[in-house]
Amino acid sequence: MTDGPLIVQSDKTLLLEVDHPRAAACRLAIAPFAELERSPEHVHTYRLTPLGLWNARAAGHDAEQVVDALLEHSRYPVPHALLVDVAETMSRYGRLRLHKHPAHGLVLSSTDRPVLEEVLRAKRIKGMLGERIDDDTVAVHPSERGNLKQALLKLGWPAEDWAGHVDGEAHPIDLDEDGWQLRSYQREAAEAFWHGGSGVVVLPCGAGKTIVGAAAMGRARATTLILVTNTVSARQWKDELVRRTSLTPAEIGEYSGAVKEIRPVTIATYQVLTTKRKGVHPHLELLDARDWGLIVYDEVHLLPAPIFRMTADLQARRRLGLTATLVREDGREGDVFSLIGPKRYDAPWKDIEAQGWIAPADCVEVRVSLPSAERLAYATAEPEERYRLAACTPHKTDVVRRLVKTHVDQPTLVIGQYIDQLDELAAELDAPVIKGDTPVKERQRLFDAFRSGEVGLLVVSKVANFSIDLPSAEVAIQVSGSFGSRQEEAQRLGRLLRPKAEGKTAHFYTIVSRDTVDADFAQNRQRFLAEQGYAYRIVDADDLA
Amino acid sequence: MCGVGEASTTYRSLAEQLRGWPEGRLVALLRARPDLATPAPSDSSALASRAATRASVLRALDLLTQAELAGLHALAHDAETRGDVPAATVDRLGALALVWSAPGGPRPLSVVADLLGPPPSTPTDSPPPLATVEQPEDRTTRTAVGAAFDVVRRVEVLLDEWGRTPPGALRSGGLGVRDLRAAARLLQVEEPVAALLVEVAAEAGLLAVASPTGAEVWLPTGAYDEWCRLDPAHRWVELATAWLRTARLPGLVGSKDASGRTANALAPGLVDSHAVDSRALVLGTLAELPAGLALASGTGVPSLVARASWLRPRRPATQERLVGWAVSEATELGVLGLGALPEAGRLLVAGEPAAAAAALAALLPAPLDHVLVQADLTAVAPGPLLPDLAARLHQVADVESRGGATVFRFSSASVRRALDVGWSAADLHEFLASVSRTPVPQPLSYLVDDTARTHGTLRLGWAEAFLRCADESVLTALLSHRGVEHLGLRLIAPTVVVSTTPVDELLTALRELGAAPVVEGPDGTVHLAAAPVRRARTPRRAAPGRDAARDAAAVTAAAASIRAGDRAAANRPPQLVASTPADALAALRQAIEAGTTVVVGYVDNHGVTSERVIEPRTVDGGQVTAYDHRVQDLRGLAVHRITSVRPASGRS
Repeated sequence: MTDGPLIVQSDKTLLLEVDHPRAAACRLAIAPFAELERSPEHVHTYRLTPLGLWNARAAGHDAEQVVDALLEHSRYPVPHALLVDVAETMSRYGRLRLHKHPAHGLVLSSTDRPVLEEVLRAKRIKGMLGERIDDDTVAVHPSERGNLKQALLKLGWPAEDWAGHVDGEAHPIDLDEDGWQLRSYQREAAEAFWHGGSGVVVLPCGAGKTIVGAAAMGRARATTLILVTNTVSARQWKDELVRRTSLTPAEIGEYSGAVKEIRPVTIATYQVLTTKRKGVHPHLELLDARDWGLIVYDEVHLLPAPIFRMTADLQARRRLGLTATLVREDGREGDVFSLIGPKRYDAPWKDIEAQGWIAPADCVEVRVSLPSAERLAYATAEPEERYRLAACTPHKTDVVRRLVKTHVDQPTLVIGQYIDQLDELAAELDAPVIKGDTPVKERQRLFDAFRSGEVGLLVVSKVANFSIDLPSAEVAIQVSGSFGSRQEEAQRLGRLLRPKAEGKTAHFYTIVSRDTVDADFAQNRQRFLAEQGYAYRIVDADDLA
Repeated sequence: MCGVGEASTTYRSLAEQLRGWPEGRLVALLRARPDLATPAPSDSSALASRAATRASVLRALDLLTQAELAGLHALAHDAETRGDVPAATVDRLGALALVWSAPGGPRPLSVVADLLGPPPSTPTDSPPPLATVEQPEDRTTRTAVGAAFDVVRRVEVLLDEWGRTPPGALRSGGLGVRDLRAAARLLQVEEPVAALLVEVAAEAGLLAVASPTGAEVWLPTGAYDEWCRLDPAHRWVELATAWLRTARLPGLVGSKDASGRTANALAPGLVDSHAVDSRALVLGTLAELPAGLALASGTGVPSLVARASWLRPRRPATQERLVGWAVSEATELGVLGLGALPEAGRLLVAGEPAAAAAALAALLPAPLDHVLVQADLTAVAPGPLLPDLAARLHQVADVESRGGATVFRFSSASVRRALDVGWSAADLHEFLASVSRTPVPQPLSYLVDDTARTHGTLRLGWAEAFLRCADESVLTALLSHRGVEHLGLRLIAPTVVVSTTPVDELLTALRELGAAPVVEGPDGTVHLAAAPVRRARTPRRAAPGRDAARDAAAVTAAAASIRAGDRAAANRPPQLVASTPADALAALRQAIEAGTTVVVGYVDNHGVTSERVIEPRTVDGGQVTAYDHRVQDLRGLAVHRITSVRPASGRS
């Protein structure tokens, strides 16, 4: 027995005691191969997964390093079976390789013939391969490069892609570090991506993923296609690129529902690409419209399934994924790995916060009690109506008013899901409201006003969830949300986590109805936030100051 | 040591030689060939006779190494090389009573020559080397300790679970495939490991078949409760000792037999009489490795197999898999660590369980008295917990992850469960504050209070019948009536009374009191009972520790009894005629070994007794094959027809 900070569990989770003097060293040692799952205050939980281990292999770590890290930092003996399993799993990556053959083009080869024989016999792979060139090499149809990698990952033999990228059409792009500087982790992230070829950079909301994208473009110096979640986000990307790089507005095009411009740097929304008319995707030609040297995927964890299919055909181009989390609600992390690329860089949220880039947040859940008449109505309601009934109780309005009053001088967002409730709140609080049917122009105006401080209070629906930069928000009050999705929570908290002046604390209030499904969903939220290491309190509405 | 290798002393027979052995040597013989000691032979003649039986000699040959076998061959068949047999080999063969000091030099028992078979083709004098690697001792020890800790923890987790929801016993006596799979899932191990743990638990007497409710199920035994009270090191010793001593083969579980049936865990018949010796052989060999050397990971096992087949060349081919299993199972159980035998394992193999437990206990992490409680409603115990604390935590939280540490999760369901078994909110707060090394997070305190708030707002209880009446005064009047005390009536609402008296009796009683009730709807009673934790009877089995002591005592007693028999025989007037069947057999075997002629009394087919002068050659299957001087040819005589045996006088 040693006194290390790490405990290895038999279910392949790693527990790291954060207050241990050697915790920091241990975290550095295990971060390359273990995925941080939870980071509450005392003990962080990491998990060993095949994908995580392969991600580590892709980043140049070997099994011996992993085993040594575990043995060195583990407090108790590490189960032998687990070590064997780690070595075995890691040795599976790279036995198969995709590369360019001078005569035969794209080929799949192996240093381990039985493995090649095994995968050649797999049904789902047969159609993707061409003729056998020699004992260890088989030709691959170039169009199947992505599909093959996906299929091999599913078989448990992920292939290394050494086939390289096309340079694409050159276009001068430089970072314009005037009055600002690339932060150290942003520089590291961009470098790690560039040396890896293609892959994903994982950074929390507010840590400046856009700037990492800009830095990557500065390395590529080629025409770039940027795929984002929605139009507002597209405009933000454009503004940011104009501000941070040598690019001029004329060089940047927007390709969305409203505008269809194709310029050396083009920003397109997922939605327009996935739109279908008469069974075909009419905007697919965008992908071939130019000889793109770099494709940037914003919010990779939200990447819709059709984009995956399109990406499978883009394997010869450099791909950069940006996200706050690799966890996908649909469990398609493997597709991100094989089609966009392995993880190239990440940093836990709390670490960045400690460096002072992100404002710490104080999360409070306020519980209101329904009066008995409403409780009766709730109890007898149809199950599908219950959440709405519980979430929209008029008693929340009163609590919101009191909270807004408490934070009267701080920019505040009130976030909800139900339009009626939002309208009611907006009228009650005398504040502007942004909903799904608010025109983009009007949205832009209100967001600008909020940023400049003209408007101190905004009521927003979930359209505001994704990728809108409201760095000035200091208080968020959530009155309803769709069924406690972790992803949504990350987004909402992200609104508040943008850097604040002089280290102010952000406040995140959630108002829930006691003893209803609303409170049950709140429990997911609480768990997620606590697992991310945020202070979380529960108070009764009556005890609210 | 007065071995047979010393040419100076020679004997007329094996019996005579045994008579001359010091007691220590006799004890060593009985220990090496335990079949000679049960039942205790009456004297040295009987011992010599038994030592020359085919069955016993076969067993003894099984114990010989390749070099010893080659030596025995030379002594038996090869006059030219018999002088080259090393004295140590002759000594060893003599110590096993396979060879004795005849006047013409060391001579193998005559039956040995028959049983030896063809000589080994390429006899090698020295054992094949083991493939080893350098492995720091602390690493191997740590690995073994970790495995030992896991084994104890897993057996406990599994049997606790089976105490609540026991798996069914198959009609054939084994454990169903699905139950084994569920056990593997519960323990987060592969199925073969789960099979090993289940088998070892059963062998240690912690698990047995019982039928508490009719159907036969596998249940933890009463001995399991005692085992749980031991400290982890002693618990491990119990399990490891049970494994060392079992002839069962957990490695067979899941394999298919000749008829294509899959072998179930705990099913009868998965045994091999060589299993115990193979384990001893493997561990004994590894115990000889110097500190810092361990069996190599890839090539180690094949080299160990080669060594084993040199040490026990006469074993069947199954020895290879026995050796493989011995290594993998020992590693799984923490007897071995990374191919080396740590101190605890070494002591255990040497038969010193108490010292092994002490050696292990010194290395196991000390149990903790605290946990780390976090805002995500988990509590992490960063090591093993004191048993009492662990039990209480299990009441108030669910286990989410196991291993070196335990992660508990609090939820409203787990808190409610604690309230159900009698905790109060205040108890919970106090408990959490006392076990948490850090301040209890506010959300957890809130969870406790919030759950307690709604706990018990619904009440239920037993009643055999209810009475309801819209008119409250009727019920009040009824309750104040004299003569209703025995009906167990209780007013639970102004208009509802419940009764512990069954409906039909209550109806009669109320009618007798002058009321006119009507029975309303079907009655229903609610039975609430927590699933009781059940136990099977511990199967009768001697504790392993006692076994070893008893074996040693038995061997010593047998040796003493042989000596007593010898003294009695010496004090008797020389009785040349062997007249009991046992004596007759002993005398015949002695004559075979000495190559002498005897006179036997023989009853022929017609019931006529005659005396024959014969030179016995072999005894086998109740038949003596002998050279009969009368017919001048080999003849077979039935042993049961021989009435007496005496040496033929006049022949030297």
